Amino acid sequence: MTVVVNRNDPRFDTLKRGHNARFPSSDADAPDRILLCSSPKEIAQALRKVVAAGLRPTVRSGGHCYEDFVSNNPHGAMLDLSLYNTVDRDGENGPYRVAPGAVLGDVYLALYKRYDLTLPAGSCFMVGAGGHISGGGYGFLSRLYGLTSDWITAVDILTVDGKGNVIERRVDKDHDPDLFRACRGAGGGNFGIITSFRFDRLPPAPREVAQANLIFDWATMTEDRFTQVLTSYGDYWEGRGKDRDTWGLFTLMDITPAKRGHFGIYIQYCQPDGTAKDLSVLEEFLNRFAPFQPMLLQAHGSLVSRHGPSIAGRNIQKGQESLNNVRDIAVRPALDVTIGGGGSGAPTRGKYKSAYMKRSFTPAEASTIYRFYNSDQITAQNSVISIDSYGGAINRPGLAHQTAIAQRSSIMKLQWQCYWPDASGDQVHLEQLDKFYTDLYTGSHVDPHHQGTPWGERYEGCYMNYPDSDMLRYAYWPELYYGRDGLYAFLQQVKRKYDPNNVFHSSMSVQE
Amino acid sequence: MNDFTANEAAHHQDSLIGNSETSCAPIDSRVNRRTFLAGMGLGGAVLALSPLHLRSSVERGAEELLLCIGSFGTADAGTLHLLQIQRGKTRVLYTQPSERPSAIVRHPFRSLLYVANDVSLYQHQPRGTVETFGLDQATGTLELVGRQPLSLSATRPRSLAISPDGRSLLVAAFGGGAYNVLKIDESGLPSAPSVILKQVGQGEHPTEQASAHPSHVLFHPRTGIAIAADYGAERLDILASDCGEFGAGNMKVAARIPCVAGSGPSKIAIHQDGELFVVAHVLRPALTAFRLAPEMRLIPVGHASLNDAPTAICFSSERNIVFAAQTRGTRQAMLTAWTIDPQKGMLQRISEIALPAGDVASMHPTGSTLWLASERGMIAVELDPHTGTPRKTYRVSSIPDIRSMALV
Repeated sequence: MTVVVNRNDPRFDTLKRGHNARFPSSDADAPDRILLCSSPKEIAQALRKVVAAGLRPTVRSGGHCYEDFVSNNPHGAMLDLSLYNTVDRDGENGPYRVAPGAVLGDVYLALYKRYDLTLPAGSCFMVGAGGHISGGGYGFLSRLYGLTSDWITAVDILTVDGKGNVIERRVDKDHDPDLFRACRGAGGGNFGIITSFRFDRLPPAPREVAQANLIFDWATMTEDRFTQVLTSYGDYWEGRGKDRDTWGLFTLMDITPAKRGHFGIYIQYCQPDGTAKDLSVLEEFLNRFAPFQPMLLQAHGSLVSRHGPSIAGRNIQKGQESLNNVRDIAVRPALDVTIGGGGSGAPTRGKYKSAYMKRSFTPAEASTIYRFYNSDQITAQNSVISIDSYGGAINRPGLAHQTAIAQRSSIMKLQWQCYWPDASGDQVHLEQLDKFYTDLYTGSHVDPHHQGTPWGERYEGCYMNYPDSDMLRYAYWPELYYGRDGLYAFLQQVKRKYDPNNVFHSSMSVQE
Repeated sequence: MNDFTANEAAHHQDSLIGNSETSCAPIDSRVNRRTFLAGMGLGGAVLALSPLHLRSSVERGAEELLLCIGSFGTADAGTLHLLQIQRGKTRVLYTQPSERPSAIVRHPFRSLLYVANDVSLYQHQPRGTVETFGLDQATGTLELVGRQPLSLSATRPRSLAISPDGRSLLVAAFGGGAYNVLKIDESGLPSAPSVILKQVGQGEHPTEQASAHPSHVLFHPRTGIAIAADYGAERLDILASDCGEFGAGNMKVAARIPCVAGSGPSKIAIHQDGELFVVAHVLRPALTAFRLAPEMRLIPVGHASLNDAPTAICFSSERNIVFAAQTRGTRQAMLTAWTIDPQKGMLQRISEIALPAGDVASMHPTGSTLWLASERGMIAVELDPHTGTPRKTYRVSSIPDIRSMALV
């Protein structure tokens, strides 16, 4: 039975929040009721009543939406799907199924223990499958296996037709193929409520992965030297990183404030056969950075949470080695790495931005980043840029036209994260981060008609799972998220066909 | 699920779509019906609301009239014009920028005008807005005092109605298919929407009626309900509030009345006694008269098919005449007059007159004159003092692309 949490329920104040404590923006902006559904039938019943009552439905799986799309819903109803979280198969040999409320850590555990399989999904244990997979879903195995949405073979979805009837659909390449394509990456909250992701097959779970951290000392970093580190990193992904034998290599460079003393690269590697016996690719990558004399930090466990302030100040205290000890790189069971990250920490106020890069860094970009993180700006002290490796299997030809992820040429993906404790810090952090980002994409390295945004020869826009409402000020914002190859126009057609009354909407949903 | 949760769930299940929080005390739905009956003069005390309140507050004597009109073309820019019409002469007292002013209403007893902005984006968010202007009658000036965004996706508002008590502003968002109610605070400024009703529905026309498009809203002069025409969903909606105050946060759609398929109900005019009202249908041009019966039933009582789409209608209640401005091809228009049987609601055409107007967006009768806001200027139609039928037209202003008008 659907559990209804109204404003007078003692659970309301806790459950109204998402992970980003900025939302709901005020008590009045919170939905009037939260409907906790435990099955597709309950979800359909709840949606029928919400639509009939003229309420706006928003949908929450794990609660990690970066913007206000879910938690800000004045006078509306939030459908919380977190209690519908099964991971199984449809029959003995049928497709694998992931319910939208399952969190990624549980998905990894269930797929591994039951079937010895995995998903190339994200690194945060507590992120919900519903939003993550709807927007593409990538993680440390994506260079090896592609995006999570690339593996979907069918979706169960509830849509609302023109008369307001809730329609239960199973869409695949033969049934409502247009909606099926749209569900493979366009982002949640656009066309309906996905009640199950179905996969005919999934990639094998790697046996083991090698892990390491390279730590760079800010004290040794002139602007020139920093530029060299950044371009060495970017050049690898623009060149050698495109070779198939490197697809098992995933890295994440975190640029943290200079006052923290260091910044680093987290590295994870497995061979295409799922083992980590031959580490020559990893060693080759590490050796590129030998001239900068970084420290090699033994990695213990998983990639840490990427949804909290701790990322801006990782504690580097022990396990430091010189680079010539690469033989000591830790090799661990892949499952430990996948699920070891635990929760996302307590909700905190945050702002996020993103950029896809098709080319390495320019000196101008490196200079802007260097100056920002060596400044005294409060936002610099509370933020980090995570520069993820990208490409590999993600960029296989043809996927752009089968899915709703347009970015298939990029070699790195950047995520800005900024955290602060209370509302008094909103304005300064939002303004400073926005200015930093805008400055970074202003200049001759950016297409003249897209100044201030990552678009042009070197860039491929932004990631819809890292939505940034600042981008709305650019009339061409859909291009940033969906490219210029007709995908957005296609999604608008799908929207008109399957959600003609725009029941599912947010400030960045597909506009009619 | 533990017992507490199960009990709570059971308790809440039935109230899933009910309002969890309202600022007026919940009242048995029968009270709503009683209020309705009282307003209809069928029981209890008649509400002390005068349907002539607005008109009496805006007439400044037989020979002087103050009008606020809104104009805009295809661009976002638009203008409000304050016009003084005195002894047949028109003077523009003041102009004020306003983004796509699609509807204007005056507060029933304050010198404030509310203007709907027919926009799809405000501050980069998909939503329309309502502007508030202060009217200085001594100097004949307007001052923008506030702009209130509507709810997310409530785009392109095209109709406003203010409750007779001046406390609630009802907005029909044509583009986004939603009703918003804005509570008007002590200073007269509308607050953030206290009611958001997202509408779903579609009609026969594949593009014009692909989704709900609330196009016109009016408060009933006596019952406390509001009546709305939804051009896209092809229906009339009766909107009601349990406690009688829309802005208190519990307005609901109390009844829906389907219209003829493909007809496109667009505008409504209510007779001053509140019992009869007429709906203009645009896609299959027609006028339909309804009688408002107890328990919020609408009974169709009269129908007239038209050759040309009616773009604006109004009542001359004293004479039981309905006027319809109809588009006749490109930039041509005509005005037809219809008697309506006050008892049976039957419509009978009694006269027509060509208009030098193009599309007429709004009409208001004042005494022996009918004022028309059109894409080719302001038109005055002189009415026969004996029969009330149109006798003569003359242009009082050549301001183009007028989309909205209010007597102030």
